[in-house]
Amino acid sequence: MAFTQFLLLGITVLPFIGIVVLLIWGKATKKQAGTIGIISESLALLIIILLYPTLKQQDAIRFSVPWIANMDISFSLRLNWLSLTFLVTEVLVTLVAMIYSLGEETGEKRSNFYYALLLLFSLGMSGTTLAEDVFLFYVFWELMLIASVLLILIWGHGEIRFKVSLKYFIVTHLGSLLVLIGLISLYVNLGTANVSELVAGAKMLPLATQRYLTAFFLIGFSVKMAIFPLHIWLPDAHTVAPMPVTIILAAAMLSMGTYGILQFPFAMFSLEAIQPFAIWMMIAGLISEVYGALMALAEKDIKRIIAYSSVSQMGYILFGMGTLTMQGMEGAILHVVYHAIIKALLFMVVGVLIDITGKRSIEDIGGLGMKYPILCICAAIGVLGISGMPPLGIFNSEWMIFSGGFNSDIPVVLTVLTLLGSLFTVFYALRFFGGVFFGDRKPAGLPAKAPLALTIPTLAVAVFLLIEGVMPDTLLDWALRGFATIFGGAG
Amino acid sequence: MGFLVLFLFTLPIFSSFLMAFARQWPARAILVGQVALSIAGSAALFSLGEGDLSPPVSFMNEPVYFSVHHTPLLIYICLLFILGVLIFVHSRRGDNFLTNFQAGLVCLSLSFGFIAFISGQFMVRYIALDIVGLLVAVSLIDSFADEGGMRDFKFTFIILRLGDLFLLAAILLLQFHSQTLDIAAMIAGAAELPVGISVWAFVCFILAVSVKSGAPPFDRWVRKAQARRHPVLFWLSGFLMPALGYYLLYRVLPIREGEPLLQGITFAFGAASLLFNYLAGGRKPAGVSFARTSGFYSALLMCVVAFETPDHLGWYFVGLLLSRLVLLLYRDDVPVLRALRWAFPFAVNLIFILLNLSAMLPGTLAVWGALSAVVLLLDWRTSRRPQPEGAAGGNAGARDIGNGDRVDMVSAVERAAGWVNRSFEGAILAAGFEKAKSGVLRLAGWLADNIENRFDPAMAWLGEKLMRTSAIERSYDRGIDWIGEKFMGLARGALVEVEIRPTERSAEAVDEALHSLTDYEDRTSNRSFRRDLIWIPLFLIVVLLFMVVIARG
Repeated sequence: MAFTQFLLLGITVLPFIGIVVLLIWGKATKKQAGTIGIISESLALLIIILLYPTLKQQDAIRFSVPWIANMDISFSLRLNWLSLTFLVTEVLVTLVAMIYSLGEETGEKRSNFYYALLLLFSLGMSGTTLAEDVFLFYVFWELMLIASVLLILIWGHGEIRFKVSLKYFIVTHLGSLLVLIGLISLYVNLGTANVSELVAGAKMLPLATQRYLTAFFLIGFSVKMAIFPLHIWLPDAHTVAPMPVTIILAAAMLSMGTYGILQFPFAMFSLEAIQPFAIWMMIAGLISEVYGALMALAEKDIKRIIAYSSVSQMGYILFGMGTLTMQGMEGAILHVVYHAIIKALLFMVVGVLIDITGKRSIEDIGGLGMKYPILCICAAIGVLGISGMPPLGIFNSEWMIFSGGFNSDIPVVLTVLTLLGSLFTVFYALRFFGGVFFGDRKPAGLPAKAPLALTIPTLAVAVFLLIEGVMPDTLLDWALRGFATIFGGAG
Repeated sequence: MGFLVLFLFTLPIFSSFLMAFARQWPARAILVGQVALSIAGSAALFSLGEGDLSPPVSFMNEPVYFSVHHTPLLIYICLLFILGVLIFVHSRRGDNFLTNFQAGLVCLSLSFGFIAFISGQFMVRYIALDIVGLLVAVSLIDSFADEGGMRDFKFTFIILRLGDLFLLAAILLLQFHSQTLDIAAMIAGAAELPVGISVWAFVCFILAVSVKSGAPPFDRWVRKAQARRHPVLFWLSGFLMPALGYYLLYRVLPIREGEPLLQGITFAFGAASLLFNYLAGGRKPAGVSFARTSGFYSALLMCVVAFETPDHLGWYFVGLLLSRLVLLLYRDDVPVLRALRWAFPFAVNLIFILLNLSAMLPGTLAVWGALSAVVLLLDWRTSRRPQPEGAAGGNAGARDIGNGDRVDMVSAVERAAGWVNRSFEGAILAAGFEKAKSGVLRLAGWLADNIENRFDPAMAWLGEKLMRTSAIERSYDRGIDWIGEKFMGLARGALVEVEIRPTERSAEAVDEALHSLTDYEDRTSNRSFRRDLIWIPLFLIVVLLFMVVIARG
């Protein structure tokens, strides 16, 4: 077995070792537990970097050992260009959230469990993107849910967390069940659980079967993406969760739905089977885009404003995928990455704001720009970024998504509406920014400076966004290769 | 040429950083130096002739290239000259100069404005226009406490963004068919587009141009900027952005060559804008309104270029920009400016006529002649009206001084103007943004109240119905109870019949057997040797012997 295959295994094993160490080390302080978590996640990132040259040569790296032999189920991992983009996004976001969590109050008690669960959450997402066996995929998929539910349940804000975590669990689990039905149907029909073999064989299934499976997968994964009206779990879960968990939920976990759609219906079934769903995906994307933006506009809680913006942004991604064009798909993959960076940035800004003011209503906060200029600059970068201002990332992905819309067979008017609908994003983004940093409603008793432990990671993410926006070619290359993986069968 | 392009792009950025970080350095000196260097650089570039540059740079896998042509350079040099004049005039007047931040904004806009002028690739041009739009909007904010400035920033940014979205739609429509972002190739390829697509793309371009050039009714952001800004900073909103709009129009004009429909659309936009401007401004206070008069110029421009591509359009743009400068500087107490204000547009248009006479463009000339005469006549007529108190000079704003007390509403046009003023200009545009904003907010609030906030109660209701009160659930419970009872009965019966009773019976039998065995044991254990049974082994021996005998034969 080649060294690179062992390295691939390390992406899942290292966080697992971190979890075991944390569970054993019950007396670990928050700093110690955080350090273990950060080291585990950094090593996983390092492995990805080490694997990159091999991936460039081979287009896919695989690791496989038998698991349940008589059912032909194996512990198979595979890193290809599609999974790379999502994996890097997820690992980076988790790493940033862990660093950020060191500076805030969550997880002071039972720190070892807190960081162990964060690692488990990350492990679930890494495994989801790497799994080459559908049963393994589902195990990791549910691991992700269990970890996040526990994090909200134990460290969430207020008594409402019990209700919210239950709602989050039930709604997303319903989506997961639809996915499970799809996975089992594939397994039963094709007699294999291996994703690559399924990709090769699924196109041979009767068209009707492909279509109903596509419907199952689309609805199931759309729940995770929080597309209107399947988004009902998101605003509460994002609001109640502690800030680092919110960052991971919004910036990384939502993208798992996108990965699922690209990996299952899109990569497996024939274009003929997916085609009838394209226009509905675009319409759902448009509605989600406008609806999420309107809700963000109506909302007063600054954390919920950013939470609703996720519903809106996921709309763009679904729209891009629905175009069924190369530009649209690439745009959707790019949008996942840029959205992750911007959403992490905006939630970090909101976290600092809540930390220094102790308030969450936009009506109680104002005029903070002069007092906290660095925070204001970070927020400005995030707000302009999410509004699609070049060269702040989302401009690049929106350009490709809209370009895909015009290139698709769907009536042009739908793309024009989506394009004009993006103006609503500007409305809520400026309302948030103007409301928080301008005016004279400055709350009393503010600290002289924003906490450095929170501000520095926030600034780092803002700078990263600027760099990624100005130099998008690497990401674009990944997205292009990811598209080739979906439709060309590469990797 | 490449070096000069790099110089003109990077130097203003460097200057803006200098102003941001070296606060002790005077903003005026840096800005003046920057303008002088930019003029020198642009002039040098102009003198090198025309050509295309393809630096080894790409963005989003699209090559970046620059088209260095005389027309954009001419406009850019004119803009720099205007900026220099504005700085000079306000230095002479002893007004407060810009802060370092504001001067930095001007420098940044010099850099990105330059790129917007010379970019030969649409994505780069779009990005540069977007950034200039942002700088224009940011220039409206004075400080973090300035809520009014923030409101104007939002308004301007959103309007300009709308223009950008129209531009984006147009670019993407053309790119789809031409599969390139090279402006020249896209425009050339547009001739082969289906009519539907080319109409959509062209309308989007025209809307984008209208927004950027401040053509009515998209001129409110110019008015807001003029009302609030230091004149030097107003250069961004009043000169640079409209000039970029003019130049965008210039670049996309070839699309409509030989297409009567598109020509008609261009003219219709221009004429509607012109008419709107007159009707909306017809009953406004007299005096010089920069925004209104420059709106006339922008609308007139669209009418002029509707039918044919006039040569020397670059010079005409320069003339329009200088006219705007005169308008901005106009003061009643300066006789030169009073004279210039009337003479200059005439001179510009006269030169334009003379230049175009050689090209023999009668259609354009006729349209131009008729419309400019109408515009100037109406403008003159407006300026003859009595002026209300407090409305002298500057921006006329959107106030209606009408009520029939000063103006005779003798003509249908004037009545129409009154109606537009009251109902459209006053009611919709003056408070339009606020109304639209509150409308959107109300819609968002309604959606939040009626859909979003009802998700949870609806789910709870559904859950309650399903779990507690639904007939299905009750039947299900009853069914389960019935089945349970039956199973319990069956199980009990089975338990008694199959488990308990046989067990009892077997236990009894075992007891009985054990008892019998015990009795037998008791009876036999005390007996002496049983002679009476000796016959059994003897009999077995006899049988054995018998079998042996038989076996031996």
